[in-house]
Amino acid sequence: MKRIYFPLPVLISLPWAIWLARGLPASWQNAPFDQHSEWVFAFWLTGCFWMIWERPHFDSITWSVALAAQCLGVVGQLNILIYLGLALMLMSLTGIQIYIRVIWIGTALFWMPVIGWLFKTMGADTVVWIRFAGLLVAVFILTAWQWTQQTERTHAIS
Amino acid sequence: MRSVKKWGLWAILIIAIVISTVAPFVQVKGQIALNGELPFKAPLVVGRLIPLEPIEQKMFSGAFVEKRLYQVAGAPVVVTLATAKTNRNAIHDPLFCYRGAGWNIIQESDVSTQEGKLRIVELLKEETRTSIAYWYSNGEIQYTSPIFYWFQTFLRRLTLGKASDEPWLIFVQSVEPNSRSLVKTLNYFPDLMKL
Repeated sequence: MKRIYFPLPVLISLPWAIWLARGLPASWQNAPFDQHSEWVFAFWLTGCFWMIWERPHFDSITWSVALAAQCLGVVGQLNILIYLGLALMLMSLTGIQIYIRVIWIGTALFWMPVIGWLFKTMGADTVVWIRFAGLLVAVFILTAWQWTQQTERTHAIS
Repeated sequence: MRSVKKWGLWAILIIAIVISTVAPFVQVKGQIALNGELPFKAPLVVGRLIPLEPIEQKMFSGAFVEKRLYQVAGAPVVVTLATAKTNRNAIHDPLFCYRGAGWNIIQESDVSTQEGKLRIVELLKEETRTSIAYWYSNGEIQYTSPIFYWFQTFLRRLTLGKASDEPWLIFVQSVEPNSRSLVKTLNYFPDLMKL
């Protein structure tokens, strides 16, 4: 497996991005529409680390866009940009296919409070199911990706 | 070339950290003083300040909030005036909060005013019925869309207050839910409707 070392600014930016998103746990704990989002986030994050482990690659443009989104989020006090910045930053560290990265960033919405707001008319319990449906999509993507990887490896060996 | 890229990354990171560290301390101009504009006494209207509940204090942390109890033509209503100071996220979408607290919306409608519109909502939770009215206002227009509120406050902060004044959330709750229609009560209090 090819190992790459990420530049130091990138390694510093990651805890910084997590620090900026520090409001999330309080929201998960207190907001009725954000119940169980921490599980969705934990799975989503595990998927990120798995992708980074399997295909480490640094994309400086996505990383810069992530930082810009977080800055805009802090200055404009718009949390969704801060969370989106975090998702983009993690995806800037992997070289997997672009469409998987885009879909993965999309599934990040399912741990964000915005899903609760978007589906508020359905009630807090239904929002939990919607979040877990998002999680299922994420599981499907990861499985499909892993299957593609294995197929590629098998073809390479044969 | 590699060294240039490395220094470029450092530069981007430092700029981002400086901006996001300094931004919360920057005083944005255009905070409007609304409390002077809403009298405690008017014909058929008398009001007084009431304290915030502990949960409201927590919820509105980082915002300026005033809660008043008014008797409007004999009907008691609670008026909450809230605007973001250091924390814009303290101002919520009222319907999101009510739904989160287990209230069901029976009916909602918009009422046109001279400066825009406000929303009237009837709510039910178990056996309790209540009606509320709310709108956002920056002194020029009244509106009910939280998305527009987020957009306006976002743009305002990005332009350091040049885009618009800080909007207020004006929130009215009838204390006696079935006493009379809230719209009728509000019509007795034109100063409030002008905010």
